[in-house]
Amino acid sequence: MAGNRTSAAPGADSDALVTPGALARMTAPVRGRMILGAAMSAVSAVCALVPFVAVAEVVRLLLEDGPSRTVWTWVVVGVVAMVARTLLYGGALSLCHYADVDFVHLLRRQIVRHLRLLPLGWFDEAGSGEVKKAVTDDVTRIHVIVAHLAGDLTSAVLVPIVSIGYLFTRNVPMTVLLLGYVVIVFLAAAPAMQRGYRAHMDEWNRAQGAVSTATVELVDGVEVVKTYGTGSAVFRRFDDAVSRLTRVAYVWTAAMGRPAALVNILFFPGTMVAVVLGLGLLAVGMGWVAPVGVVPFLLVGVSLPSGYLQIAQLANGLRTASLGATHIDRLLSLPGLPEPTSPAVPVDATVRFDHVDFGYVDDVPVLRDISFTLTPGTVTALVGPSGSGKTTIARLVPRFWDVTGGAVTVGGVDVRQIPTPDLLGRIAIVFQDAVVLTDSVRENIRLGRRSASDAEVEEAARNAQIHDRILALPRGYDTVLGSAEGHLSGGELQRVTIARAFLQDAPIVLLDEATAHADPHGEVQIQQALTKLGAGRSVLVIAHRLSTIVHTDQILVLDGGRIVERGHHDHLVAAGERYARMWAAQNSAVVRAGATR
Amino acid sequence: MSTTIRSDRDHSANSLFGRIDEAIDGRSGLTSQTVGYGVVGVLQGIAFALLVPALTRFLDGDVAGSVPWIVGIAVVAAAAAVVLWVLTERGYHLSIERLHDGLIRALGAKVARLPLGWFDSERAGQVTTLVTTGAQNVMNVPSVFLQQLTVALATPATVIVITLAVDWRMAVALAAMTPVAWLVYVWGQRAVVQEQRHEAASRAAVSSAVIEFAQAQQVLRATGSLAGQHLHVDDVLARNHHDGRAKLAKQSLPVSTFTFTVELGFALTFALGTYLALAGELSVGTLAALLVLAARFVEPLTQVGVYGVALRQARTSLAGIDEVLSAPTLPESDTPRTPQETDITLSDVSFGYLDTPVLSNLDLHVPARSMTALVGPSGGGKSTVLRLIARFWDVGSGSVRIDGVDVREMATTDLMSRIAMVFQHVYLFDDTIVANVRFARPDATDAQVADAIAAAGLDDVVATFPDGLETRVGEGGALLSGGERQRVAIARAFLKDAPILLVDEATSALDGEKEAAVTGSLERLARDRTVLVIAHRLTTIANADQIAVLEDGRITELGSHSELLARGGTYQQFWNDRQSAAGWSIRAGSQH
Repeated sequence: MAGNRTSAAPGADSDALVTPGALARMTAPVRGRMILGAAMSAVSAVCALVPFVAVAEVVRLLLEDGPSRTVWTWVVVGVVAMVARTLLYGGALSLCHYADVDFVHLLRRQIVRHLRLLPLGWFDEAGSGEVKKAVTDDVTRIHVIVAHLAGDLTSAVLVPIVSIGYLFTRNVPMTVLLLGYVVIVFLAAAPAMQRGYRAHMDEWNRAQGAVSTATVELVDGVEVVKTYGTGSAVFRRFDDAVSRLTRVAYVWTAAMGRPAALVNILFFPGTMVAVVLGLGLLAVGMGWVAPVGVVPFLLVGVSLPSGYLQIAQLANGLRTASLGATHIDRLLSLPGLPEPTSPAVPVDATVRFDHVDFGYVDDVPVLRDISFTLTPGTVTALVGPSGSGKTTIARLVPRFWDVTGGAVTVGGVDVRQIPTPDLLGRIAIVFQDAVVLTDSVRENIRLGRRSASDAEVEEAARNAQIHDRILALPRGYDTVLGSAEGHLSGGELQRVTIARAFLQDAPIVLLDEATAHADPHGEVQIQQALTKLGAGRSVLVIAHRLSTIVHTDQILVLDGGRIVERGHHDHLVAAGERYARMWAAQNSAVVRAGATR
Repeated sequence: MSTTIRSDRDHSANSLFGRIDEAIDGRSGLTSQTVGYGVVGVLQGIAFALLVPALTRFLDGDVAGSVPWIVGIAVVAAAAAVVLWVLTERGYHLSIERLHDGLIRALGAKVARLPLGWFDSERAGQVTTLVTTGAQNVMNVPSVFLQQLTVALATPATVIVITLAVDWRMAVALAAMTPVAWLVYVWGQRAVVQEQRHEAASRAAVSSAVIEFAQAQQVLRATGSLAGQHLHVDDVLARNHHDGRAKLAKQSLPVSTFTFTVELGFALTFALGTYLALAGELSVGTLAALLVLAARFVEPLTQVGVYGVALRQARTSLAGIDEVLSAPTLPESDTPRTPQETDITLSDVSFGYLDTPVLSNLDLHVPARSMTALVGPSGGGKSTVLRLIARFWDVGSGSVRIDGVDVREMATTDLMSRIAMVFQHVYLFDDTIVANVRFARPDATDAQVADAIAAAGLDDVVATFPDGLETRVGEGGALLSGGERQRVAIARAFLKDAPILLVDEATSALDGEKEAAVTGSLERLARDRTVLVIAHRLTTIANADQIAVLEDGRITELGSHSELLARGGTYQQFWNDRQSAAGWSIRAGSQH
């Protein structure tokens, strides 16, 4: 059976667990409108039956009493009920759809708000695909329920119930026979349709998620895809994901499509007319009912099971929605970085690492027993091989993650006791990979300080040596970065982020591989900009070219998450250890370059 | 061809099928499927119509006389059931194999062929929405909506025709509201097209904005931009909310009006039938039969509005898919030519992004099996030159030739097989390191992969990871440092072993020891190949056979290191800058 299929990824199975109450909690803000919609829909369900009753009564009166004007009363009642039903049902649907649109907006905002609180480590692990899934896919799954559950489901359930009640008042044996047919068909097919439904649905969702991820890769990694072609393994990842999805669809259909098709056919209106007439012949032959008594069954009984598909769809929708709600609920209940219990204000810009241990995951330490002090007006350089923990150290200062042991303090206060906006306001960061938003250059720089005037933004750009380049863009400062016309090189983007840091004017500056993307000419500009930026502040720089840090106040040499050497350049070179070897290796490269030709 | 204009005009199902056929490059089978459902609808209509003779006899007391008619109804209904069964099986196959699978693959293949200019920050979200929600919307067309819609139209049409033979007045009453209902339906379809498109667009923007919001968390937090601030993502969410409400506002009234119109037809028939029966012009049995028919007539029609919404949703999704599929790609030559040598010539090349000229009348010759270093200010178009050689874009004017063969005359696969690239921003796929290297040549033996990894110095790097080469790199390679990613790219290039090498150097992201190692492996990689490198490192520049200075979109200086130094132009200035950069330092106290 499909339920035994092995799950594609560890942890994916947890999708099968639904948190009870998650859906109810989430839809609480629009519950009032959903209930009103359900009430209107319930009344409309009763109204829907009345025109058929009217027809049956007219036929009965004409047959039993002969032509009489009294039948017009029934005609009027039928038509009025029909109008009432249309108005009520349309109103209910409209109400629920509006509630739904509002609900989607509220929930998405709530999710986006919550993302702001999560530790950055979460984004690395889960990836932006997870976030997208929550805000688009999961919200969409729930929205079906808000839009349709109250109105449609109430109607789909009540219409047959009211109909059966009416039919019982007309003729009990006929009603029993007809119900018997419907029940037998359901009992025969339902187990096959229900079996493994969850497993199939989960499998489908997983496979679709994989296609989604592969698509993001295809688009984001398109340069690689182009280089290696669609026949290559890069494209095969996408291809495989699609094949798997198709396979899942076939398995699902093979297991459940046929019983579903059979039920569809046995409840098809044409089939039902034949069934009602057959049962009618039987009942009349047995003397259980007069021929005229069959008319209500032709009018109402034929469409008795027609709502089942809708009920089945909505029931499935309810389950899907619960899954979506569970996923979102899990996201919303992820603990954010805790805000300080007793907030304190740092006295100055001194940064201290006090026996800090850290690991992104349990049991894999990245930093071990790191201690150093960064005093205002001094520059500390971090050097070491890639992966030695330099970037991690820089990220612990603005509390992108919390330490697992020891403490990081700013101005004598543990960073965990400084309110987030206060802490971040004191730290300017220039990262290796410049992150810019799809927005104008002006707004991208203004991220440094939202209250900055246009003049201040341009002043910062001048300080970062990027002003002239921005003016050369098609729309100058209003050019949208990330659009086709807002094309800046890596080095230029980096200078945009340096301008941001200028605007922020924070007493602590963290520089991470800051000159990675610059060409030599740009590099001089960036270095001038950085020198200016660092003046008089507490500066922590992750260095790659040792020559740039010869004159720093202290150099920390990292290896395997520990500080293996520390001191001034001359001291370290003289020591003849790790740093001295790095220095020699780099110098020989430069010397070789100078000596060639 | 403009898709958006087409979708404004076309409302018929035929254009929908045509578009699907076009999208999946063949016949979707939807037309024959529709004809099949039409047959089911007509058979069902006949079964309903047979109610008139059956009920007339049944209610008038001639129960025995009604039996043959009732048997007839059963037979016709059974025939409809059999046809429907066959069609349902076929519909599943069409949905899964041709529509869903076919459309997603068509999208993927197309994306890989689109020129780089097509890609901007919104594309990932847009395409992802299309392959998930979009493809699923279209997939449901044959098995769900097509059946319901076709049957809902064919059955009443049959009933009308047959009623016409029984009592033309009743037929007219039944059909009277149909033209009105049709007009309402078309009005409803048109009314919401604009809003639907806006809503779909802003929904796609939600994906992109949220992905960006997640990716930019570092900078947003670092600059304190999250605290109580109004952000781009909020605007995007608000716009989608607004568009959603606007769509509903346009959608609700037509749907209700349509239902209302159809039901009015039933009311008319009811009233007229009652009048005729009272006047003795219609037997009660016939009246009962016709009113049962009317009820059967109305029920499916009231559902048409609902199916219409779903079908329109499918059409909107399809329009989005079509927009991607019909985006112009770089033309392929019908008679591709194959170069023998590997020298590269750019002649009189001009190129710009939109209105911004980047290269103007650029000439450059890269001799075979030699290294040319490209230097110049950032934003000068150096990366563009590399991408034009790889034909990620086509030149505006002029030509890029390999051994005298224009790259536009070469088959893309042929061109790509000749070029290896090591670029600044290395994109890795969320898989293991070794799998990422293997992408370069899937059929490589383990030994070849291991050689490439060793040659790139990647084995030193992974030695420090607990899982070694099996370490997963995270989304886009996020779990590796810039230097580590670059070495994966170098290993890929080694494995690919192509005769032309394009390098956008970024080795300054490495520390001294590693830099020496990477420089060494790049040197080995460059050996015996035709190399064009955007050079930042002194070593690389000094090692080059010729140096080209790219300024203001053209080559201003060309020659060897010593020649250019002696010339005393831009290169000399550049070299001096470069040396002073090497000598620059961050001072204690930072006061320069």
